[in-house]
Amino acid sequence: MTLKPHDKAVIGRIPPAEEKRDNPELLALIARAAKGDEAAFSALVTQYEKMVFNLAYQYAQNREDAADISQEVFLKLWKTLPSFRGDSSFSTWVFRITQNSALDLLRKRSGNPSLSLTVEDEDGEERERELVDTGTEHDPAAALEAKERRAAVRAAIAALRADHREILVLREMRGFSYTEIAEMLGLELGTVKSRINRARMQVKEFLEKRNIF
Amino acid sequence: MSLDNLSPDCAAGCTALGEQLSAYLDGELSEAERQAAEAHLRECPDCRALCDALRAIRRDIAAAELNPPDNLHGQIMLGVRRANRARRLRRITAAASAGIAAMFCFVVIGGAIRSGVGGNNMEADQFLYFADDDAPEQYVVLQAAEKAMGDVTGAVMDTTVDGGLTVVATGRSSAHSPSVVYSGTGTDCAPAEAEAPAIVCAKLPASARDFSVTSPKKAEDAHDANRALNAVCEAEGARLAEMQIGTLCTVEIPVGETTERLVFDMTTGEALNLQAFLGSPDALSVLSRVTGIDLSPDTPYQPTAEGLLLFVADGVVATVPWYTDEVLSACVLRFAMTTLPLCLPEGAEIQYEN
Repeated sequence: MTLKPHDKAVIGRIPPAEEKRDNPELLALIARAAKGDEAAFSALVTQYEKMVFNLAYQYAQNREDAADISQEVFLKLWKTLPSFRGDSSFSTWVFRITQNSALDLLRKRSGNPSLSLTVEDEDGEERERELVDTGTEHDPAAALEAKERRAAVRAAIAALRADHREILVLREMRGFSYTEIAEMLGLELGTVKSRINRARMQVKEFLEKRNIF
Repeated sequence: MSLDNLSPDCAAGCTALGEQLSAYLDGELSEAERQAAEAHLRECPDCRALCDALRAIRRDIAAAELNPPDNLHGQIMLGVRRANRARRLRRITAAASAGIAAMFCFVVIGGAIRSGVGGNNMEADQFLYFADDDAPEQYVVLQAAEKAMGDVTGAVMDTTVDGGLTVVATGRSSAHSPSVVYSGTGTDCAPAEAEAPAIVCAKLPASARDFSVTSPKKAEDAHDANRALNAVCEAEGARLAEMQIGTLCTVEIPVGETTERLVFDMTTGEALNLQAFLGSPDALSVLSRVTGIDLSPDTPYQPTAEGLLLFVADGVVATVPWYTDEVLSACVLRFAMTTLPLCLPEGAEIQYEN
């Protein structure tokens, strides 16, 4: 498959028919940062670093890699900012860079570029990766403290498939709407809805298995 | 999942709402759907219980959000500032260099060339080596370099592990001038008393065909290979970001336990060969991923010194800067090696076929 060379340099752009996705303040910040304004970019970092870090963490499952990925992401963001034309929302732009960077790092580490960390059981059906439990089920009858519940929830999230973890970061932690998530992930709205629901139900089942309600 | 057929008499474990329940909690239902869901919830204790459970789980997942490390923001901005310096410096050197001059002679030993500072029969061109990690002063230092050398025809830049910055500039020869090291701050920039740096620029004879370079040095000279690549790519008007050893040219450098292999293709002497990259099966997927745009094989493109312009549907122009790591690592850059200087670390050997 080859790309076709273009004879004439046609520079121009037809603005998208629908409304701009991002608010004007954000766009102004992006414009300044794209011109090299480091202070403006620093403000973008502040706005997006939690999202990037948490996404990176869910892909990489450790803080060190998540920090490395985050640095990679923001450096790429800095360099490619002039190319951002508002065809997608800025969050989508940031998300894709994050996903790509995480994939790159994971590929370098393990040689397996797949985001889908499911396992197949004997029937060939995909199921959630089982997390080796570290012993919170020794006293299932006791009332659990909030701290233990949080730890259990974190364990539940870690046991999820990568695409479920990813979508919960976007929905629960960062509060993106279904429409925004659909754009980021390139999915139909219906798929977003069912995936979010499925992810939550998986967490619920994990907790129930460990008698946490 | 339709809400039309809900009955108020649900059996235990009611799943009537299904994924609508999640959407309801997220406020993503239409008004009609929301009212239908609430009506069902009023009548169905099982679904109410599930609703409460999911609400709690949503809260807990939100609470599981991590705080990035305190120093992350600072680290990010440090990286950004370094990249900013690099970009500014390249703009200067691109403006300064009007072309690459043939520069050097070197000793030929049976088809191999050994580089070294101050070797016999070696005319090393004057070059500068200076370290400075404050962006505005680089301008000053580089200007001083231009003034001293008459013409800066190339400069490469590298960041060191400890956050410093080193720059090697090449220029036309000022006969009998020793290598000059410039350093300074602000507007007070003067030659410093320093030993000559271990970089020598060399040029292969016009008849040379394929070549390879081996360096006896170890990992600390990985930066030297970076400089070599930077120098060559600078001359071609390409721009590079953080360089990954092992992606671009036929220089074999031992790095720690491994040998990194870098690939130049110089058999044709063509300039940056987009065809090789764009004709490769990976090109579309790489570019699509980098731009976030679905490209097709019919997407027209126009290469520029800044990068690649892609013309996607409806007159939208996307640019892919050359310094995108993915694009660069997929490109094979071709250079007219016989006309360009190649910076080599001290003690490096070039083997070439004549």
